[in-house]
Amino acid sequence: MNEILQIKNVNKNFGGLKALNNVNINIKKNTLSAIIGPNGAGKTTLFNIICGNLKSNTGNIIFNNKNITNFPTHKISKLGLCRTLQVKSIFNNLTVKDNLYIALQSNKGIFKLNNSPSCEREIQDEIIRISELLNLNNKLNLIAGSLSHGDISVIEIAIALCLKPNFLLLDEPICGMGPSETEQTIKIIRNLSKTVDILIIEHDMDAVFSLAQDIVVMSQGSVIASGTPEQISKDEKVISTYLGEEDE
Amino acid sequence: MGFLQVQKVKQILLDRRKLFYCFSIITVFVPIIFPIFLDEFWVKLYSEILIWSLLAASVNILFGYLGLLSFGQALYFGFGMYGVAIAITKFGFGLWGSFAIGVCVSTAMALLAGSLAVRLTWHYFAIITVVFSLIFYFVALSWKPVTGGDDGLPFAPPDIVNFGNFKIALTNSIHQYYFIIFFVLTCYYSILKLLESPLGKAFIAIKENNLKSELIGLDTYKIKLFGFVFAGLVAGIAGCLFAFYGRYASASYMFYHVSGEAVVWAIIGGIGSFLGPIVGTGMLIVLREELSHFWDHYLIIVGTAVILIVMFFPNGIAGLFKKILK
Repeated sequence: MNEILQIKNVNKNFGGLKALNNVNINIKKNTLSAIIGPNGAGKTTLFNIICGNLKSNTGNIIFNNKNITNFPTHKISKLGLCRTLQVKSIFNNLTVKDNLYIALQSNKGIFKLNNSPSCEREIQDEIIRISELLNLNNKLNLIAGSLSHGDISVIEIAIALCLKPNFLLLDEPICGMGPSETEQTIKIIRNLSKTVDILIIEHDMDAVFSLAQDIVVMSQGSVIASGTPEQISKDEKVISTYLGEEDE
Repeated sequence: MGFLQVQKVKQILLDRRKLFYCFSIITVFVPIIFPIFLDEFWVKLYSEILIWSLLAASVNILFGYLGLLSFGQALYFGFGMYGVAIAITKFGFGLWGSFAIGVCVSTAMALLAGSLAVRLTWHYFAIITVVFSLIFYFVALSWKPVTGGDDGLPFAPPDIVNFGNFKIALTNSIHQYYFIIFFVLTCYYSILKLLESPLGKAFIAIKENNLKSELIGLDTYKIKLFGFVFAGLVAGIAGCLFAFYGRYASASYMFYHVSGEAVVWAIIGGIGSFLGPIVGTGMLIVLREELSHFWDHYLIIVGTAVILIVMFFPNGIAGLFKKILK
Protein backbone atom coordinates (compact mmCIF):
# COMPACT_ATOMS: atom_id res chain seq x y z
CA MET A 1 0.00 0.00 0.00
CA ASN A 2 1.27 3.40 -0.94
CA GLU A 3 -1.00 5.29 1.47
CA ILE A 4 -0.07 6.14 5.03
CA LEU A 5 -3.55 7.43 5.86
CA GLN A 6 -6.91 6.62 4.32
CA ILE A 7 -10.05 8.46 5.34
CA LYS A 8 -13.09 6.55 4.10
CA ASN A 9 -16.65 7.91 4.01
CA VAL A 10 -16.26 9.86 7.25
CA ASN A 11 -19.32 11.77 8.45
CA LYS A 12 -19.63 13.95 11.51
CA ASN A 13 -22.68 15.83 12.72
CA PHE A 14 -22.92 18.30 15.58
CA GLY A 15 -26.65 18.24 16.23
CA GLY A 16 -28.22 19.46 13.02
CA LEU A 17 -24.93 20.75 11.62
CA LYS A 18 -23.12 18.50 9.16
CA ALA A 19 -19.46 19.21 9.92
CA LEU A 20 -18.09 16.45 7.67
CA ASN A 21 -19.99 15.07 4.73
CA ASN A 22 -18.79 11.74 3.36
CA VAL A 23 -15.10 12.69 3.38
CA ASN A 24 -12.72 10.45 1.43
CA ILE A 25 -9.02 11.31 1.42
CA ASN A 26 -5.90 9.24 0.71
CA ILE A 27 -2.56 10.55 1.94
CA LYS A 28 0.45 9.04 0.18
CA LYS A 29 3.60 7.93 1.94
CA ASN A 30 6.76 10.04 1.58
CA THR A 31 4.87 13.21 0.78
CA LEU A 32 4.12 16.48 2.48
CA SER A 33 0.39 16.97 2.03
CA ALA A 34 -1.86 19.84 2.96
CA ILE A 35 -5.55 20.38 3.58
CA ILE A 36 -6.83 23.83 2.79
CA GLY A 37 -10.24 25.41 2.84
CA PRO A 38 -12.11 28.42 4.16
CA ASN A 39 -13.06 28.74 7.84
CA GLY A 40 -15.69 26.18 8.82
CA ALA A 41 -14.68 23.75 6.08
CA GLY A 42 -14.20 20.97 8.64
CA LYS A 43 -10.41 20.68 8.50
CA THR A 44 -9.77 20.76 12.26
CA THR A 45 -12.80 18.53 12.89
CA LEU A 46 -11.23 16.02 10.53
CA PHE A 47 -7.91 16.23 12.42
CA ASN A 48 -9.78 15.73 15.69
CA ILE A 49 -11.43 12.60 14.31
CA ILE A 50 -8.16 11.22 12.92
CA CYS A 51 -6.48 11.68 16.32
CA GLY A 52 -9.35 10.34 18.42
CA ASN A 53 -10.27 13.67 20.01
CA LEU A 54 -13.69 13.35 18.40
CA LYS A 55 -15.68 10.28 17.37
CA SER A 56 -17.00 10.10 13.83
CA ASN A 57 -20.65 9.17 13.19
CA THR A 58 -19.74 6.86 10.32
CA GLY A 59 -16.69 5.97 8.24
CA ASN A 60 -13.23 4.58 8.82
CA ILE A 61 -9.74 5.91 9.42
CA ILE A 62 -6.99 3.56 8.24
CA PHE A 63 -3.47 4.41 9.38
CA ASN A 64 -0.60 2.28 8.07
CA ASN A 65 -3.11 -0.45 7.11
CA LYS A 66 -4.59 -0.44 10.62
CA ASN A 67 -8.16 0.61 11.27
CA ILE A 68 -7.85 3.23 14.03
CA THR A 69 -11.43 4.54 13.84
CA ASN A 70 -12.50 5.90 17.24
CA PHE A 71 -9.33 4.67 18.96
CA PRO A 72 -8.47 6.71 22.10
CA THR A 73 -6.05 9.58 21.50
CA HIS A 74 -3.19 8.13 23.56
CA LYS A 75 -3.29 4.84 21.64
CA ILE A 76 -3.21 6.63 18.29
CA SER A 77 -0.22 8.65 19.48
CA LYS A 78 1.57 5.43 20.47
CA LEU A 79 1.09 4.16 16.89
CA GLY A 80 3.21 7.05 15.67
CA LEU A 81 0.47 9.41 14.51
CA CYS A 82 1.11 12.69 16.29
CA ARG A 83 -0.39 16.13 15.96
CA THR A 84 -0.02 19.74 16.96
CA LEU A 85 -3.03 21.89 17.76
CA GLN A 86 -4.47 25.00 16.12
CA VAL A 87 -4.38 26.83 19.48
CA LYS A 88 -0.80 26.11 20.50
CA SER A 89 -0.74 23.65 23.34
CA ILE A 90 2.31 22.86 25.44
CA PHE A 91 3.03 22.50 29.17
CA ASN A 92 3.23 26.23 29.83
CA ASN A 93 4.53 26.26 33.40
CA LEU A 94 7.33 23.78 32.78
CA THR A 95 10.70 24.47 31.21
CA VAL A 96 11.26 23.64 27.54
CA LYS A 97 13.46 20.76 28.68
CA ASP A 98 10.71 19.34 30.92
CA ASN A 99 8.24 19.61 28.03
CA LEU A 100 10.48 17.41 25.93
CA TYR A 101 11.35 15.15 28.88
CA ILE A 102 7.72 14.28 29.57
CA ALA A 103 7.06 13.46 25.92
CA LEU A 104 10.16 11.25 25.77
CA GLN A 105 9.26 9.62 29.08
CA SER A 106 5.79 8.86 27.74
CA ASN A 107 7.46 6.92 24.94
CA LYS A 108 9.63 4.98 27.39
CA GLY A 109 6.78 4.05 29.73
CA ILE A 110 5.25 5.81 32.70
CA PHE A 111 4.25 3.10 35.17
CA LYS A 112 7.63 2.56 36.80
CA LEU A 113 9.47 3.88 39.83
CA ASN A 114 12.73 4.82 38.12
CA ASN A 115 14.41 5.06 34.75
CA SER A 116 17.45 2.86 34.30
CA PRO A 117 20.68 4.92 33.85
CA SER A 118 20.81 3.96 30.16
CA CYS A 119 17.17 5.01 29.66
CA GLU A 120 17.84 8.32 31.44
CA ARG A 121 20.91 8.89 29.24
CA GLU A 122 18.90 8.15 26.11
CA ILE A 123 16.27 10.70 27.16
CA GLN A 124 18.92 13.37 27.81
CA ASP A 125 20.61 12.64 24.46
CA GLU A 126 17.30 12.88 22.63
CA ILE A 127 16.53 16.22 24.30
CA ILE A 128 19.86 17.57 23.04
CA ARG A 129 19.40 16.12 19.54
CA ILE A 130 15.85 17.43 19.04
CA SER A 131 16.55 20.83 20.58
CA GLU A 132 19.57 21.27 18.28
CA LEU A 133 17.51 20.19 15.28
CA LEU A 134 14.89 22.85 16.01
CA ASN A 135 17.23 25.56 17.36
CA LEU A 136 15.84 25.31 20.87
CA ASN A 137 19.11 24.40 22.56
CA ASN A 138 19.65 27.82 24.13
CA LYS A 139 16.08 27.95 25.46
CA LEU A 140 15.96 24.58 27.23
CA ASN A 141 15.94 26.00 30.75
CA LEU A 142 13.38 28.73 30.10
CA ILE A 143 9.74 28.44 31.14
CA ALA A 144 7.99 27.37 27.94
CA GLY A 145 4.92 29.58 28.41
CA SER A 146 7.08 32.70 28.64
CA LEU A 147 8.45 32.30 25.10
CA SER A 148 7.22 33.90 21.89
CA HIS A 149 4.36 32.46 19.85
CA GLY A 150 6.82 31.26 17.21
CA ASP A 151 8.96 29.47 19.80
CA ILE A 152 5.90 27.83 21.34
CA SER A 153 4.90 26.55 17.93
CA VAL A 154 8.38 25.06 17.47
CA ILE A 155 8.25 23.51 20.97
CA GLU A 156 4.97 21.85 19.99
CA ILE A 157 6.67 20.35 16.95
CA ALA A 158 9.62 19.32 19.13
CA ILE A 159 7.25 17.53 21.55
CA ALA A 160 5.70 15.70 18.61
CA LEU A 161 9.17 14.67 17.39
CA CYS A 162 9.99 13.25 20.85
CA LEU A 163 7.24 10.72 20.22
CA LYS A 164 9.16 9.37 17.20
CA PRO A 165 6.23 9.86 14.84
CA ASN A 166 5.95 8.33 11.40
CA PHE A 167 3.12 10.69 10.52
CA LEU A 168 2.76 14.24 11.74
CA LEU A 169 -0.40 16.35 11.58
CA LEU A 170 0.33 20.06 11.90
CA ASP A 171 -2.71 22.27 12.46
CA GLU A 172 -1.90 25.80 11.25
CA PRO A 173 1.76 25.66 12.30
CA ILE A 174 2.57 29.22 11.18
CA CYS A 175 -0.67 30.87 12.26
CA GLY A 176 -0.02 34.19 14.04
CA MET A 177 3.71 34.30 13.27
CA GLY A 178 5.72 37.23 11.98
CA PRO A 179 7.56 36.98 8.62
CA SER A 180 10.92 35.83 10.07
CA GLU A 181 9.33 33.23 12.36
CA THR A 182 7.20 32.01 9.43
CA GLU A 183 10.25 31.61 7.26
CA GLN A 184 12.10 29.72 9.99
CA THR A 185 9.16 27.39 10.70
CA ILE A 186 8.64 26.64 7.00
CA LYS A 187 12.30 25.71 6.82
CA ILE A 188 11.90 23.40 9.82
CA ILE A 189 8.80 21.73 8.33
CA ARG A 190 10.54 21.26 4.98
CA ASN A 191 13.53 19.62 6.69
CA LEU A 192 11.27 17.39 8.79
CA SER A 193 9.36 16.22 5.75
CA LYS A 194 12.53 14.48 4.55
CA THR A 195 12.24 12.00 7.44
CA VAL A 196 8.56 12.08 8.50
CA ASP A 197 5.35 12.13 6.49
CA ILE A 198 3.49 15.34 7.20
CA LEU A 199 -0.06 16.57 6.70
CA ILE A 200 -0.68 20.24 7.41
CA ILE A 201 -3.70 22.48 7.64
CA GLU A 202 -2.74 26.03 6.73
CA HIS A 203 -4.40 29.26 5.65
CA ASP A 204 -1.23 30.86 4.32
CA MET A 205 -1.46 29.92 0.63
CA ASP A 206 2.11 30.95 -0.17
CA ALA A 207 3.35 28.59 2.53
CA VAL A 208 1.08 25.74 1.40
CA PHE A 209 2.00 26.04 -2.26
CA SER A 210 5.71 26.25 -1.48
CA LEU A 211 5.65 23.26 0.89
CA ALA A 212 3.04 20.73 -0.20
CA GLN A 213 3.36 18.10 -2.88
CA ASP A 214 -0.31 17.15 -2.57
CA ILE A 215 -3.20 19.40 -1.63
CA VAL A 216 -6.75 18.54 -0.58
CA VAL A 217 -9.33 21.32 -0.66
CA MET A 218 -12.35 21.19 1.63
CA SER A 219 -15.41 23.36 1.76
CA GLN A 220 -18.47 23.06 3.99
CA GLY A 221 -17.50 19.62 5.25
CA SER A 222 -16.77 18.06 1.86
CA VAL A 223 -13.69 17.48 -0.26
CA ILE A 224 -14.06 19.59 -3.41
CA ALA A 225 -10.68 18.95 -5.03
CA SER A 226 -7.37 17.21 -4.58
CA GLY A 227 -4.14 17.07 -6.56
CA THR A 228 -0.78 18.70 -7.04
CA PRO A 229 -0.37 22.45 -6.34
CA GLU A 230 -0.50 23.15 -10.12
CA GLN A 231 -3.75 21.23 -10.54
CA ILE A 232 -5.31 22.90 -7.49
CA SER A 233 -4.32 26.42 -8.59
CA LYS A 234 -6.16 25.87 -11.88
CA ASP A 235 -9.21 24.06 -10.43
CA GLU A 236 -12.36 26.08 -11.11
CA LYS A 237 -14.21 24.84 -8.06
CA VAL A 238 -11.31 25.88 -5.84
CA ILE A 239 -11.08 29.28 -7.49
CA SER A 240 -14.79 29.91 -7.03
CA THR A 241 -14.64 28.75 -3.39
CA TYR A 242 -11.81 31.12 -2.57
CA LEU A 243 -12.64 34.03 -4.85
CA GLY A 244 -16.41 33.63 -5.25
CA GLU A 245 -18.45 33.09 -8.43
CA GLU A 246 -18.04 35.71 -11.16
CA ASP A 247 -21.23 37.73 -11.82
CA GLU A 248 -22.87 36.90 -15.13
CA MET B 1 25.72 31.73 60.73
CA GLY B 2 27.97 32.38 57.78
CA PHE B 3 26.78 32.88 54.21
CA LEU B 4 27.76 29.34 53.18
CA GLN B 5 25.83 27.75 56.05
CA VAL B 6 22.77 29.86 55.17
CA GLN B 7 23.01 28.65 51.57
CA LYS B 8 23.30 25.05 52.81
CA VAL B 9 20.19 25.39 54.99
CA LYS B 10 18.36 26.97 52.04
CA GLN B 11 19.35 24.06 49.81
CA ILE B 12 18.06 21.54 52.33
CA LEU B 13 14.76 23.39 52.74
CA LEU B 14 14.27 23.57 48.98
CA ASP B 15 15.16 19.92 48.39
CA ARG B 16 12.09 17.72 48.93
CA ARG B 17 14.08 14.64 49.83
CA LYS B 18 16.45 16.35 52.29
CA LEU B 19 13.53 18.18 53.86
CA PHE B 20 11.75 14.85 54.33
CA TYR B 21 14.81 13.35 56.06
CA CYS B 22 15.02 16.37 58.41
CA PHE B 23 11.31 16.13 59.17
CA SER B 24 11.62 12.38 59.83
CA ILE B 25 14.53 12.82 62.25
CA ILE B 26 12.71 15.58 64.15
CA THR B 27 9.54 13.46 64.30
CA VAL B 28 11.42 10.47 65.69
CA PHE B 29 12.85 12.61 68.49
CA VAL B 30 9.66 14.52 69.33
CA PRO B 31 8.83 12.38 72.42
CA ILE B 32 12.27 13.32 73.78
CA ILE B 33 12.38 16.98 72.66
CA PHE B 34 8.80 18.09 73.36
CA PRO B 35 8.62 17.15 77.07
CA ILE B 36 11.63 19.40 77.75
CA PHE B 37 9.60 22.51 76.85
CA LEU B 38 5.99 21.42 76.67
CA ASP B 39 3.31 19.32 78.25
CA GLU B 40 3.00 15.59 77.40
CA PHE B 41 -0.29 16.55 75.71
CA TRP B 42 1.61 18.12 72.80
CA VAL B 43 3.29 14.85 71.87
CA LYS B 44 -0.16 13.28 71.60
CA LEU B 45 -1.43 16.26 69.64
CA TYR B 46 1.57 16.03 67.29
CA SER B 47 0.73 12.41 66.48
CA GLU B 48 -2.90 13.45 65.86
CA ILE B 49 -1.70 16.22 63.54
CA LEU B 50 0.43 13.72 61.63
CA ILE B 51 -2.56 11.41 61.13
CA TRP B 52 -4.79 14.24 59.92
CA SER B 53 -1.99 15.53 57.72
CA LEU B 54 -2.19 12.25 55.80
CA LEU B 55 -5.81 13.08 54.95
CA ALA B 56 -4.66 16.52 53.75
CA ALA B 57 -1.80 14.82 51.86
CA SER B 58 -4.34 12.66 50.02
CA VAL B 59 -6.11 15.88 48.96
CA ASN B 60 -2.72 17.28 47.93
CA ILE B 61 -1.93 14.24 45.75
CA LEU B 62 -5.15 14.78 43.83
CA PHE B 63 -5.43 18.56 43.77
CA GLY B 64 -1.79 19.56 44.01
CA TYR B 65 -0.34 17.09 41.53
CA LEU B 66 -3.23 15.93 39.34
CA GLY B 67 -5.47 19.00 39.43
CA LEU B 68 -8.46 17.03 40.75
CA LEU B 69 -10.27 18.75 43.62
CA SER B 70 -11.86 16.06 45.78
CA PHE B 71 -14.33 16.84 48.55
CA GLY B 72 -14.74 13.17 49.36
CA GLN B 73 -11.46 11.99 50.89
CA ALA B 74 -13.16 11.55 54.28
CA LEU B 75 -15.03 8.61 52.73
CA TYR B 76 -11.82 6.57 52.50
CA PHE B 77 -10.74 7.82 55.92
CA GLY B 78 -14.09 6.58 57.28
CA PHE B 79 -13.76 3.25 55.46
CA GLY B 80 -10.34 2.80 57.04
CA MET B 81 -11.80 3.55 60.49
CA TYR B 82 -14.76 1.23 60.07
CA GLY B 83 -12.62 -1.48 58.47
CA VAL B 84 -10.51 -1.57 61.63
CA ALA B 85 -13.41 -1.22 64.10
CA ILE B 86 -15.68 -3.80 62.45
CA ALA B 87 -12.84 -6.29 61.95
CA ILE B 88 -11.99 -6.07 65.66
CA THR B 89 -15.48 -5.90 67.18
CA LYS B 90 -17.42 -8.18 64.82
CA PHE B 91 -14.79 -10.64 63.62
CA GLY B 92 -12.27 -10.63 66.44
CA PHE B 93 -9.27 -9.72 64.26
CA GLY B 94 -5.98 -8.64 65.80
CA LEU B 95 -4.30 -5.30 65.18
CA TRP B 96 -2.47 -6.22 61.98
CA GLY B 97 -5.41 -8.12 60.47
CA SER B 98 -7.83 -5.29 61.19
CA PHE B 99 -5.30 -2.75 59.86
CA ALA B 100 -4.98 -4.74 56.62
CA ILE B 101 -8.77 -4.95 56.29
CA GLY B 102 -9.13 -1.20 56.90
CA VAL B 103 -6.54 -0.41 54.23
CA CYS B 104 -8.03 -2.92 51.75
CA VAL B 105 -11.65 -1.73 52.06
CA SER B 106 -10.71 1.95 51.77
CA THR B 107 -8.54 1.24 48.71
CA ALA B 108 -11.28 -0.89 47.14
CA MET B 109 -13.78 1.91 47.74
CA ALA B 110 -11.38 4.40 46.14
CA LEU B 111 -11.06 2.09 43.13
CA LEU B 112 -14.83 1.85 42.79
CA ALA B 113 -15.50 5.59 43.20
CA GLY B 114 -12.42 6.57 41.19
CA SER B 115 -13.30 4.43 38.19
CA LEU B 116 -16.36 6.66 37.73
CA ALA B 117 -15.08 9.95 39.14
CA VAL B 118 -11.86 10.36 37.14
CA ARG B 119 -13.83 10.30 33.88
CA LEU B 120 -15.09 13.73 34.96
CA THR B 121 -13.30 17.04 35.39
CA TRP B 122 -13.48 20.10 37.60
CA HIS B 123 -16.83 20.78 39.35
CA TYR B 124 -18.35 17.54 38.02
CA PHE B 125 -15.47 15.63 39.59
CA ALA B 126 -15.80 17.56 42.89
CA ILE B 127 -19.56 16.93 42.99
CA ILE B 128 -19.33 13.19 42.36
CA THR B 129 -16.75 12.82 45.16
CA VAL B 130 -19.16 14.60 47.54
CA VAL B 131 -22.05 12.42 46.36
CA PHE B 132 -20.13 9.20 47.06
CA SER B 133 -19.14 10.54 50.46
CA LEU B 134 -22.76 11.48 51.34
CA ILE B 135 -24.21 8.13 50.21
CA PHE B 136 -21.90 6.13 52.45
CA TYR B 137 -22.20 8.64 55.30
CA PHE B 138 -25.95 8.05 55.41
CA VAL B 139 -25.48 4.29 55.01
CA ALA B 140 -23.09 4.29 57.98
CA LEU B 141 -25.46 6.47 59.98
CA SER B 142 -28.49 4.27 59.41
CA TRP B 143 -26.88 0.82 59.53
CA LYS B 144 -26.77 0.88 63.31
CA PRO B 145 -26.24 -2.86 64.04
CA VAL B 146 -22.96 -2.84 62.09
CA THR B 147 -21.66 0.73 62.34
CA GLY B 148 -23.14 1.85 65.64
CA GLY B 149 -24.87 4.73 63.83
CA ASP B 150 -24.75 8.01 65.78
CA ASP B 151 -22.92 6.45 68.70
CA GLY B 152 -20.07 5.10 66.61
CA LEU B 153 -18.25 1.84 67.22
CA PRO B 154 -15.88 1.81 70.19
CA PHE B 155 -13.33 -0.97 70.60
CA ALA B 156 -10.36 -1.98 72.73
CA PRO B 157 -7.26 -1.94 70.53
CA PRO B 158 -5.40 -5.27 70.31
CA ASP B 159 -1.68 -5.35 71.12
CA ILE B 160 0.83 -4.49 68.42
CA VAL B 161 3.09 -7.37 69.46
CA ASN B 162 2.41 -9.91 72.19
CA PHE B 163 4.93 -12.72 72.82
CA GLY B 164 4.44 -13.98 76.36
CA ASN B 165 5.91 -11.29 78.60
CA PHE B 166 7.07 -9.16 75.71
CA LYS B 167 4.26 -6.79 74.80
CA ILE B 168 4.04 -3.69 72.65
CA ALA B 169 0.63 -2.08 73.04
CA LEU B 170 -1.17 1.03 71.89
CA THR B 171 -2.12 1.68 75.52
CA ASN B 172 1.47 2.76 76.05
CA SER B 173 1.63 6.32 74.68
CA ILE B 174 5.25 5.98 73.48
CA HIS B 175 4.50 2.71 71.64
CA GLN B 176 1.42 4.30 70.11
CA TYR B 177 3.44 7.33 68.99
CA TYR B 178 6.08 5.24 67.23
CA PHE B 179 3.44 2.97 65.74
CA ILE B 180 1.72 6.01 64.24
CA ILE B 181 4.85 7.76 62.97
CA PHE B 182 6.15 4.57 61.38
CA PHE B 183 3.11 4.49 59.08
CA VAL B 184 2.92 8.25 58.61
CA LEU B 185 6.58 8.46 57.56
CA THR B 186 6.18 5.40 55.31
CA CYS B 187 3.23 7.10 53.60
CA TYR B 188 5.17 10.33 53.09
CA TYR B 189 8.17 8.40 51.74
CA SER B 190 5.87 6.57 49.29
CA ILE B 191 4.43 9.90 48.15
CA LEU B 192 7.97 11.22 47.71
CA LYS B 193 8.96 8.18 45.63
CA LEU B 194 5.84 8.56 43.53
CA LEU B 195 6.52 12.24 42.86
CA GLU B 196 10.10 11.50 41.82
CA SER B 197 9.05 8.65 39.53
CA PRO B 198 8.06 8.93 35.84
CA LEU B 199 4.46 8.57 37.03
CA GLY B 200 4.88 11.68 39.19
CA LYS B 201 6.01 13.58 36.10
CA ALA B 202 2.94 12.32 34.25
CA PHE B 203 0.79 13.66 37.12
CA ILE B 204 2.27 17.12 36.62
CA ALA B 205 1.76 16.91 32.85
CA ILE B 206 -1.91 16.00 33.28
CA LYS B 207 -2.45 18.81 35.76
CA GLU B 208 -0.79 21.24 33.36
CA ASN B 209 -2.57 20.18 30.18
CA ASN B 210 -4.84 17.15 30.01
CA LEU B 211 -5.42 17.25 26.25
CA LYS B 212 -1.73 17.60 25.48
CA SER B 213 -0.97 14.72 27.84
CA GLU B 214 -3.26 12.48 25.81
CA LEU B 215 -1.69 13.70 22.59
CA ILE B 216 1.76 12.66 23.83
CA GLY B 217 0.45 9.17 24.50
CA LEU B 218 -0.35 9.30 28.21
CA ASP B 219 -3.36 7.20 29.22
CA THR B 220 -4.81 9.96 31.37
CA TYR B 221 -7.70 7.81 32.64
CA LYS B 222 -5.40 5.09 33.99
CA ILE B 223 -2.96 7.59 35.47
CA LYS B 224 -5.71 9.60 37.18
CA LEU B 225 -7.29 6.40 38.48
CA PHE B 226 -3.94 5.29 39.89
CA GLY B 227 -3.56 8.69 41.59
CA PHE B 228 -7.10 8.51 42.96
CA VAL B 229 -6.62 5.00 44.38
CA PHE B 230 -3.24 5.93 45.85
CA ALA B 231 -4.78 9.00 47.49
CA GLY B 232 -7.60 6.77 48.79
CA LEU B 233 -5.02 4.35 50.20
CA VAL B 234 -3.25 7.20 52.04
CA ALA B 235 -6.57 8.50 53.42
CA GLY B 236 -7.50 4.93 54.38
CA ILE B 237 -4.25 4.44 56.31
CA ALA B 238 -4.95 7.76 58.08
CA GLY B 239 -8.43 6.45 58.97
CA CYS B 240 -7.01 3.19 60.35
CA LEU B 241 -4.44 5.07 62.44
CA PHE B 242 -7.08 7.46 63.74
CA ALA B 243 -9.32 4.54 64.70
CA PHE B 244 -6.44 3.04 66.75
CA TYR B 245 -5.66 6.47 68.18
CA GLY B 246 -9.26 7.27 69.20
CA ARG B 247 -10.28 3.62 69.87
CA TYR B 248 -13.48 3.99 67.91
CA ALA B 249 -15.02 4.63 64.49
CA SER B 250 -17.82 7.04 63.75
CA ALA B 251 -19.87 8.00 60.71
CA SER B 252 -19.29 11.67 61.51
CA TYR B 253 -15.71 11.31 60.20
CA MET B 254 -17.09 10.33 56.80
CA PHE B 255 -19.06 13.53 56.41
CA TYR B 256 -17.99 15.86 53.60
CA HIS B 257 -17.34 18.58 56.17
CA VAL B 258 -14.27 16.55 57.24
CA SER B 259 -13.16 16.35 53.60
CA GLY B 260 -13.62 20.11 53.33
CA GLU B 261 -11.43 20.64 56.36
CA ALA B 262 -8.70 18.50 54.75
CA VAL B 263 -8.95 20.63 51.58
CA VAL B 264 -8.48 23.78 53.70
CA TRP B 265 -5.46 22.26 55.50
CA ALA B 266 -3.89 21.33 52.17
CA ILE B 267 -4.52 24.76 50.65
CA ILE B 268 -3.25 26.65 53.70
CA GLY B 269 -0.15 24.47 53.89
CA GLY B 270 0.53 24.90 50.20
CA ILE B 271 -1.11 22.92 47.46
CA GLY B 272 1.49 21.09 45.39
CA SER B 273 4.06 21.30 48.21
CA PHE B 274 5.22 17.92 49.47
CA LEU B 275 5.16 18.75 53.18
CA GLY B 276 2.55 21.53 52.85
CA PRO B 277 -0.23 19.31 54.28
CA ILE B 278 1.71 18.89 57.55
CA VAL B 279 2.27 22.65 57.81
CA GLY B 280 -1.39 23.48 57.12
CA THR B 281 -2.83 20.75 59.33
CA GLY B 282 -0.41 21.55 62.12
CA MET B 283 -1.08 25.26 62.04
CA LEU B 284 -4.85 24.99 61.99
CA ILE B 285 -5.09 22.26 64.63
CA VAL B 286 -2.75 24.14 66.98
CA LEU B 287 -4.75 27.34 66.37
CA ARG B 288 -7.93 25.43 67.18
CA GLU B 289 -6.44 23.96 70.36
CA GLU B 290 -5.08 27.28 71.60
CA LEU B 291 -7.98 29.56 70.69
CA SER B 292 -10.80 27.24 71.76
CA HIS B 293 -9.66 27.69 75.41
CA PHE B 294 -10.33 31.39 75.28
CA TRP B 295 -13.28 31.86 72.96
CA ASP B 296 -16.13 29.58 71.87
CA HIS B 297 -16.36 31.30 68.49
CA TYR B 298 -12.66 30.75 67.73
CA LEU B 299 -13.59 29.50 64.24
CA ILE B 300 -14.19 33.13 63.22
CA ILE B 301 -10.48 33.84 63.82
CA VAL B 302 -9.43 30.62 62.10
CA GLY B 303 -11.69 31.45 59.13
CA THR B 304 -10.30 34.97 58.86
CA ALA B 305 -6.73 33.62 58.93
CA VAL B 306 -7.62 31.15 56.19
CA ILE B 307 -9.17 33.87 54.00
CA LEU B 308 -6.14 36.12 54.44
CA ILE B 309 -3.70 33.34 53.59
CA VAL B 310 -5.67 32.29 50.51
CA MET B 311 -5.92 35.93 49.34
CA PHE B 312 -2.33 37.01 49.92
CA PHE B 313 -0.42 33.72 49.69
CA PRO B 314 -2.25 31.55 47.15
CA ASN B 315 0.54 28.97 47.27
CA GLY B 316 0.06 28.57 51.01
CA ILE B 317 2.60 28.80 53.77
CA ALA B 318 5.00 26.32 52.19
CA GLY B 319 4.76 28.26 48.91
CA LEU B 320 5.55 31.49 50.76
CA PHE B 321 8.61 29.93 52.41
CA LYS B 322 9.81 28.61 49.06
CA LYS B 323 9.45 32.09 47.56
CA ILE B 324 11.41 33.67 50.39
CA LEU B 325 14.16 31.05 50.18
CA LYS B 326 14.50 31.38 46.41
